[in-house]
Amino acid sequence: MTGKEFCHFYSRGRFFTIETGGEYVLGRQESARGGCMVVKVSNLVKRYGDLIALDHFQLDVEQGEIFGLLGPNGSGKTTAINCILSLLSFDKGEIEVFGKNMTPSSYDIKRDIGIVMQNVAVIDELTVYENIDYFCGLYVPEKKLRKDLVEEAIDFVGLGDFRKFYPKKLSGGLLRRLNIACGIAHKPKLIILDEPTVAVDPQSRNNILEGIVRLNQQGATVIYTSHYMEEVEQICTRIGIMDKGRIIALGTKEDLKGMIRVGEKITIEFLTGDPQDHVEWVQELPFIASVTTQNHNLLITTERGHNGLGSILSAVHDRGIQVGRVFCELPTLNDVFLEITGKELRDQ
Amino acid sequence: MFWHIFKYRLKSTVRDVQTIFWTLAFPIILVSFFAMAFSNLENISEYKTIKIGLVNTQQYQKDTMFQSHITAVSKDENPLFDVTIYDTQEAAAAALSDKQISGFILEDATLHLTIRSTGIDQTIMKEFLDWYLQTASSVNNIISGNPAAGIKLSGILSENVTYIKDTNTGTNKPNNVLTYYYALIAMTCLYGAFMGSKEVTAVQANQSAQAARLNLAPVHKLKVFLSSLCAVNLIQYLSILLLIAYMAFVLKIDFGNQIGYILLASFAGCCAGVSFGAVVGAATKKGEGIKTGIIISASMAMSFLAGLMVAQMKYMATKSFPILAYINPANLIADAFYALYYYNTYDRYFLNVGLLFAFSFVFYLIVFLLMRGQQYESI
Amino acid sequence: MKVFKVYFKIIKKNLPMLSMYVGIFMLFALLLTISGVGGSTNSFSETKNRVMIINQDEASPLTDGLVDYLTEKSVIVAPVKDEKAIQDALFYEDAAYVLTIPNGFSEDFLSGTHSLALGKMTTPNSTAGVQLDMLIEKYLGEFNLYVKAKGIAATDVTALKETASLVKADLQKGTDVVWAGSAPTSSITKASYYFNYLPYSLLSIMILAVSSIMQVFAKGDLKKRMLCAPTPATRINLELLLGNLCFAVVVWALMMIISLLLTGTSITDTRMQMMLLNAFVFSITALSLSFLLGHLIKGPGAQHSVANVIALGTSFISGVFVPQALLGETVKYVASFTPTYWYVTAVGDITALSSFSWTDTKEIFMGMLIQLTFAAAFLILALVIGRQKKRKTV
Repeated sequence: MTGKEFCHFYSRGRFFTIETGGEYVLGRQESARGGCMVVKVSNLVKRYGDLIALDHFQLDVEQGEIFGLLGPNGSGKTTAINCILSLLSFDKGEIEVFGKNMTPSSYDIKRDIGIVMQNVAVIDELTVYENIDYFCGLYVPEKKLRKDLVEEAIDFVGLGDFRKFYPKKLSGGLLRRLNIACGIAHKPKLIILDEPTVAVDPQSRNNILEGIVRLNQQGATVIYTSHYMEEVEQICTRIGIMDKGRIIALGTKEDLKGMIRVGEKITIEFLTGDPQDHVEWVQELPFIASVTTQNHNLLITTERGHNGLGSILSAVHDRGIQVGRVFCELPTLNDVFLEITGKELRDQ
Repeated sequence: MFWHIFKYRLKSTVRDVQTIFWTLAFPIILVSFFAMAFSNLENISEYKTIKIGLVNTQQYQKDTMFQSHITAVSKDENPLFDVTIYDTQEAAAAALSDKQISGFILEDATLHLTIRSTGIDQTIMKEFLDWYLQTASSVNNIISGNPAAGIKLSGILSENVTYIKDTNTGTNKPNNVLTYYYALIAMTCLYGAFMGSKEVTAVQANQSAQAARLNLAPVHKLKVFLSSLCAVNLIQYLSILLLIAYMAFVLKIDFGNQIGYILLASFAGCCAGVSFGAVVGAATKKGEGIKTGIIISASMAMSFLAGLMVAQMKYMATKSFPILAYINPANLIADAFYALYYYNTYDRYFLNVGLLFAFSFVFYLIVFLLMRGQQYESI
Repeated sequence: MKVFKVYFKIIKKNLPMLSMYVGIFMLFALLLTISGVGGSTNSFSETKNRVMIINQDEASPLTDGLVDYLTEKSVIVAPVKDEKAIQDALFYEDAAYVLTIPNGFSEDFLSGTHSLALGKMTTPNSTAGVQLDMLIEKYLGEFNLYVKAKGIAATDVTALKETASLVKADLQKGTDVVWAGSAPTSSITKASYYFNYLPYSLLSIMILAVSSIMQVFAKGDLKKRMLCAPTPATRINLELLLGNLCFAVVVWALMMIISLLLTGTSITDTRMQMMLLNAFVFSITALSLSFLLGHLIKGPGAQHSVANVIALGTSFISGVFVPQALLGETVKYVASFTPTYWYVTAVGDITALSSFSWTDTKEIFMGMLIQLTFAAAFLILALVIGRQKKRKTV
């Protein structure tokens, strides 16, 4: 039996295979890591006339991951997702989900996929309970089983008090929660969320993020697209940064941040004098990547892997310079993106 | 799965209160307006007394025959004319200007009728005078030949002879007013197109977010579509039956007695309307406006040609383009009901009902072909 | 004037849909006018009805004369054999009146017994039925008069033939009609048909178009945005109204151009000018009504139903499709609460005008004034509701 076939064996994500020296061993799930490929996209190309929306897009998502697809608006995240789901036609490429070729009529695959889309997709004339029941019913025909699943879903998203409400009466955050419930009620093995936290209040947002982590712990593989790097950093185990239709950087948080030159970013506020006077001597300090001024502040970046804050502060103290506030930031994914593309992740 | 989808589409459609209310209420309100407009047609024979003037010319004073004719129709209860005699033409003309009279008669060498405007009153006056002149002419011809015959004349003229008898033996007499009512039923059926169109939007992923979600479920979207069609057809069918019940029991419009056939025809009409809407929904891009525009324009046009506004349009349309009788769904529906009412046999009826079902089938086929692809170029 | 400009942008965007509405409903008015059907019973031109004569009698001067007379006055349709075909003919209105002359009719008639009658099949209460009945009875009545008075024998063919020609001559006689003022021209009569049908088209177009456009402004976020702007609600409403007004004027102008082209009436004809004015007043009234409805209608589902009910419903009871003369008194009373009724009355009055003195035109102007009163009432109501809505729900 090959590893691939073992992947098909798992129920509710309890089993996975670990590749150990060429042999495959069944093991209980301890951490959400495995060697089975849930989604495999190769060479995906999608054109809209002259515009290339997806440019040889590649994606490998392993079972048990929370994979984050990060990119600015217009980078092709939603297009990629729609192609993977066989909702959108594409010009070139192969898409495999759960090891099988994905087509619009692959109902067995679709049964195990849950989607939470950017646009809230609920029916206005049905209550919260009815909405979840309706959509779950398309996946789970058995009534008794479905009833339990729907109740679980309502609890999971915390809409217990709102089950008889109509969508029009729900706030943005609650509506998003409903959107999620409709997408995951049938306990899918692969959950794809496309920008689920747009226009959502912070409380609901946290709720949603925690929920995703819980789903993952219960055994679901998650693909999460967003242009909010904080969220992606917070929950994703592996991240792909996307721009202009292709993945430009791939890896864990640390991997990605390790790709760039910048180590730390330190901002020192000078209370007296012109910060420009200090640029020269600071630059002489070891492991300094760049020094610039901005108003009363000196912006210093250190080289990757080196902490410059301690040495800079002691140097400043030695010279008896009066400083105000000091900020130290670790590089963010935005910095990664900036360095690779020269643009910001978020629109200016 | 079918019942699951059917139940929820039914709930969802019924709870759209605005749409449901208007679907049920508007045909009933409209047909009530029709009934009001036609309410007086049965009473055509009743007329109001017409105020007419007469100039007291010399010739008139001498013309006893004419005098007796005028007197005959201006006496008793509810006479045809209410005659005012004027001494001069100018006085009569002034009265006419003042609208005290609808017209006046002046007799010199011949009879003149002076009027200001045309209308039923004036038509009646003219007819009366024409008839008088014609009879007078005959009388003169007879008397000039043999004066003795003159004695018999009044006797003959007052004979009451029925020359014409109604021989219509059909189940029911032809009835122009029914054309309007049946055309109204047709229009209501066609308005089911809005529901059909809405259902298409609900499954075409490039037209709504809910549809996209549906497309990702492990159910073929056409299956979802068919189930929801059943729900929608049911609602539309009920609304048409409600309309017919109202027309039959409250407005007392005649449909004949064949309930089963009426139910079948209603169902055929309902299918045709909903399927037509589905085609429009599937063939046009996203956007309510265009779809509504096409549906309204098309259904009003079809109803117009089936005689909804002016019954004779139906006749003229089918005379100019005979094929219209067979390809205009509104016409087919209206005629199916009319054939049921008017004929003893059912050939015409079944032909129409059959064509309606055929249309529905063709429409749904087109929809199927248009919606077959499950992937989209762009969403 | 921002709102005003936005209004036109929306029109531009929705141009295909709006053109469809304008096109279709104008087409209706056009077709109805061209076909020359329905409308008023306001002319002396005799309509020729379609008559089918099934003559089962032997040849006789009586029946020949009758058939001859009817041929002159109607359009004769070829007779058909079986009953089904006759029913079909009536169903499809190939024939409006089917006359059957039974065997032995002439003999029976001329002998004076009158036991046999002619058979007729027609639509009850139709004008065709009434008119044909009258023609036949006149002819037979006269013939009978001659035969009985002169004592003509049934076998005396020469005398009968002479009678037939005498009857024919008699029936040619007609009253001389004198017009006090000027007689209506045929083009004005045609124009009167067109203007009579206009309310339905105008109301449909206005309600559908205006409510579609107003819907855009009523949508949640856009409405909120507009409410927050430093423009008072009334000002917004007025700008919307101005936009609607421009639209109404354009539609009116279009319909007027068509009327002139279609009917060939000259714009210098006073009657025509009054028709145009009347139509303009009605357009304004239709506009205010649509404006009011635009505030009240909440959703596309309701929109087309309301438009239909109001346009078609009021048109029917006001005399657009069923002539006012045939409407019952109660119906007319109810209809008088709609502006359509006054418009149609005015059209009839204008057509009938033979002189243009104040006494004649007074009522017409009164009718227009009443329409304007409706317009004002609708408008005020709309402005009030507009303000209320904006305050109550956001």
